[in-house]
Amino acid sequence: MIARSILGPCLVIGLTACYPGRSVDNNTEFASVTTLKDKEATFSNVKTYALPDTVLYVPKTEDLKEVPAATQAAILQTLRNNLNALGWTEVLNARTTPANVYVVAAVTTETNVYWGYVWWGYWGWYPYWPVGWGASSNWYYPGYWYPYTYSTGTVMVGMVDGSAPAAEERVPLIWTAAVNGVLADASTNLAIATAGIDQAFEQSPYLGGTAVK
Amino acid sequence: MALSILGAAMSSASGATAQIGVTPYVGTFNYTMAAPSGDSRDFSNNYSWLGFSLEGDWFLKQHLSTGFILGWQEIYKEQNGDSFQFDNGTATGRSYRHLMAVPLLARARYWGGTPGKAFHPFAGIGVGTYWMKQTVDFGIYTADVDHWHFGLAPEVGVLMASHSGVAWTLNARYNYPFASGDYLNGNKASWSYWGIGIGVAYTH
Repeated sequence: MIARSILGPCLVIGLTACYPGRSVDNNTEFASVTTLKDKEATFSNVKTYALPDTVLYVPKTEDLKEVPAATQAAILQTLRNNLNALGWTEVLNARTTPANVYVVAAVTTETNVYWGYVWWGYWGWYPYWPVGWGASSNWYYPGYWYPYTYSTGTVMVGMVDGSAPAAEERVPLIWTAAVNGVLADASTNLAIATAGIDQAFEQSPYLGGTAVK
Repeated sequence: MALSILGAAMSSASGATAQIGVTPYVGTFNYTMAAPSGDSRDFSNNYSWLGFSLEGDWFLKQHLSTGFILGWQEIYKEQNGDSFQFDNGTATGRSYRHLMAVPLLARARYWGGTPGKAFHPFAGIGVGTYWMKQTVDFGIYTADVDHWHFGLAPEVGVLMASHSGVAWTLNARYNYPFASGDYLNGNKASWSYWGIGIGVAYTH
């Protein structure tokens, strides 16, 4: 009789303990790619582009933090490959030759700190009688707070319309992409960044002048 | 295997058969599965193997009972390369789409079969509320929203009486929360789903 009365609650507890939380096997699973376009912009007339030789770190820090040179080179080359694949031609000296669009890239990072609390304390005992003034042989370690941190990074790409004048210190941004994820080792970060840039162009078929349904 | 263990745990040395329609009360624990439909299917098209319900029925007449349903069901789906379309853009990444349903219903059932016999088909309808929670994890972001819905749950099923006041049930139930709320896409949603339940009942 007792077994019957507790079997139901035991089954309920057992099943609810199986709550299907998100499964994460790798930091790369946190990566996402977002692209936005100016709805008024048309890309069918774009034939040339200009690309800088630097990927900036933003915001500017006191220690003038920079994106590693190898990372900058990989990001710029990935952008170049995708822009060339659209059939566009790179303008090597934008100071002397205007381009239809100007593409810029920047990197930013953020460190997030969270505090967790282990609420249970635990007892221990000294294996020997402590020297002192009647000190107890027992000791107690109370619950404690602990910090854990993770850092996220974002590669931001912007495409500026070269034919439209800048108005009121605002540049005419016609396309932007952001590759976001949790930072790991340098090679993983770079792999996520370059794969994300490829995905950004793949999900933007209108850049090639293809009409979006 | 699991059902035989449940049966063994709940049986006793007595050989009495579950007296449906004669005894005043039937309590049931169901393991439930679900197939999403409508808005649920559009959001998270994945069969659910995780759910349960606790149910009670009190007989008003030999073939008519009223009672309650308290349930919990999880419908979820994870996938790589999931894309969300905006008016002027697209976001792509690994997503985790999750629906939690908690039905709290009053229920009336009509029972067939003969009291004292083992086989009893039944048909019923539940009326009450559903608490629904929609969750989306995308990249490093998560968003969720929950609402209460008024809903209906028609059902059909069979009960097979065993011994010692124990019986086994199998039922199909269509859970229909009426569209309400303001969910993550800014719209109302119904979150309906088909449920299949395998249960163990105890009569008293």
